[in-house]
Amino acid sequence: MQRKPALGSQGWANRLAALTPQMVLLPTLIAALVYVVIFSLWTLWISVSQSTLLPNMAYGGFGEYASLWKSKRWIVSYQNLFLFGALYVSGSIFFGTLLAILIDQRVRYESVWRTIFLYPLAVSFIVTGTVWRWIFHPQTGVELALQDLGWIAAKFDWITDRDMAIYVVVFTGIWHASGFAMALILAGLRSVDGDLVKAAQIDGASMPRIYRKVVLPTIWPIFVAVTVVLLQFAIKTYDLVVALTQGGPGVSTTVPAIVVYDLMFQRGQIAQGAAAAVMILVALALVLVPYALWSGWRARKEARSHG
Amino acid sequence: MKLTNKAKLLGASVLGAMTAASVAGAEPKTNMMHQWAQGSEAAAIAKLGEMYEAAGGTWEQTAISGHTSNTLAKLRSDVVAGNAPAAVQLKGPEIAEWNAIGATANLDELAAAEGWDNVVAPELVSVMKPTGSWVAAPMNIHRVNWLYSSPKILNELGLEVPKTWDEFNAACDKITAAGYTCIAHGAADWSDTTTFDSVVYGMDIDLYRKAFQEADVEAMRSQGMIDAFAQLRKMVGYMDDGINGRSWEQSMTMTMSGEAAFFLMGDWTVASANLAGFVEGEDYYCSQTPVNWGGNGFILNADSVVFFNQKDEDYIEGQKLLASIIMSPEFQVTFNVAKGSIPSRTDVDLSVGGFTQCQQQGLEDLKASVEEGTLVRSMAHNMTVLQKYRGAMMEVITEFVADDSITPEEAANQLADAVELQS
Repeated sequence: MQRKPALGSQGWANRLAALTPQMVLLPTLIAALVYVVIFSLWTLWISVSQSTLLPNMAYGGFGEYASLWKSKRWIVSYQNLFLFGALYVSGSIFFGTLLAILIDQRVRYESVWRTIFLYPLAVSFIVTGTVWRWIFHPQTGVELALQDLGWIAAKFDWITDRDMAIYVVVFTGIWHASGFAMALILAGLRSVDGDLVKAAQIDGASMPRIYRKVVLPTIWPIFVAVTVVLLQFAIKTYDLVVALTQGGPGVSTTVPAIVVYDLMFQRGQIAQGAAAAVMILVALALVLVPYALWSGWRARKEARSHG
Repeated sequence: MKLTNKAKLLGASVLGAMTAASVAGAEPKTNMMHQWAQGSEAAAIAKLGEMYEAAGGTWEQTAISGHTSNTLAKLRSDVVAGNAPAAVQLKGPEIAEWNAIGATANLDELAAAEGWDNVVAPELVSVMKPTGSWVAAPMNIHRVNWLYSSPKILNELGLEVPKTWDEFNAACDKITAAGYTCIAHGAADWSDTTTFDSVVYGMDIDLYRKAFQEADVEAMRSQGMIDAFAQLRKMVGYMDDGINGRSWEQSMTMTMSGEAAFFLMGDWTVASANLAGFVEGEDYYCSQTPVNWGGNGFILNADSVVFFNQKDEDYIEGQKLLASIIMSPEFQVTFNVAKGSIPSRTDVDLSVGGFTQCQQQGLEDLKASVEEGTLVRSMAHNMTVLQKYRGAMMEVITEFVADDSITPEEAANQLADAVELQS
């Protein structure tokens, strides 16, 4: 039962106090509305307009989408988005969790280890890409080193191999992001109540089992946060690929962001570039909409079982 | 020499001042947008600014470093905002595109007074005059079809610099057998296409004109194009397995230090090679890439400045002054010595002012190829077709280089399909 607010000045003050949070949030809300919703709709309209070198708002139909999906480079890059996104996010979380658990064992010089593993995140994508290009390139990196050591037949040329080059990008991405995942997950592990672990130990559970069944499930919101952050890294990946492989060999490691940039700013095809940008949004929706439905369903189910 | 140059400079200043004085009360001003923010190119542009101020103008510049697309993005937003810059460094078909939307200024009066039509290479004139009027001033001419060879390897194996593609292949067979890399190459869409420019041009000049200058899809599907792709496939076989992820400067060093025999690249190589301490005639020879039809060939690339419509009388006067200085022999010499290219006017004497042998050779070959009617513009360097066609073609060519399961027939069809898709 809700108490009826008393009439008079005190009622207004109360109502104002209740409204304050909304009023503080309002500017952010408007900014988000303009930047996300309005600009997304704007891009959608541009993609079906007659724009070429300059934006032209006259309706031009869905031809640009058709052309886009006939382009081999776009299809390769779209596949790469899903392949790279899936492997990059899951790989980073896997290695991040592993590192976090190892560091959680109260190792000596913990802060040193933490710094070492977090360090890659402080290195820009351009530098990361350039350095790993040297390491992976057969004539400057690992292959050369092995051959200089006397193993003449050594061969390590993934970066020049059409089928393997995308995994070079995935590997480098994971190297870059694992530390970030580790830091967040470690913070989560530290927040787990120690009594919970002790209780499990008393019950005779082994450490791996405790982590799998007790500790990690309790910090699942952290995994969601890490996934969301990494997912948006994956979708806007541009500079890493440009520095590492330039989208090559051929077009085999091109990602959608590169195609959008080329179409819009280099080739004077603003409409087709906007169409490509819309397709990136669709890719994101393909991942996020099922997730939203699933979590909604889960929340309802939990509410029922507790109710 | 120094004195003569100064005297010429003075001449240009006077001429500039006279042009400027033609409209009473207007003070020439300009703001030039360009992408040369660093190194010798920035220094060359600074020189342009000095000459402009010496001639009585007020000089401002907007340097946007990095890729050309950054310049285009800024230009686009300025034009949409109704605030077009007075002068912008742009090239090739982009000039025609901006001209087509009516954004460019008209320089016919000045061009007629200074006789540009008689001194600029004919293939270049058509680019500067997309619809019959001068809207841009060319700053230089780059030659794309240079073949750099290693004297060390050629002498050791007793080989001559190849003149035709058959000779080139025969030389490569010998060089590969001797354990050297024949072609130094760094794979990227533009560099693969630069090589292919020379291949198509050298094998069939009419095919080059139809396919790469006019974007004729029938020509792209023809037997000639299939043969050209087959030659490119052969050449990829003459390269080593480290072409991916290698820069063109590294490829240049491979040839000039005697690890690889040949390197196909434009004349900006000359400026970099000399800067790196390599010596013409000792560390490298320069010659035109092989042609099967005999004679002199020249694939042209040029930087230019496009002038946009202005309302302010001061800026209109400023454009005329700037164009006049860019077209002056003095500026053309200073700028091109730094850039490794040759002046866009064919009447400049290159034996003075610090031009290298290769640059002087370039100018002679240019004149000869104008004579013989073999001069063409470079597709790889954005001098012929619209960016959307060029981009589509570059994708096919670079894929062909990277993926040896694509046959020449497939590649020729893909090239045509990719272009048809964009039209």
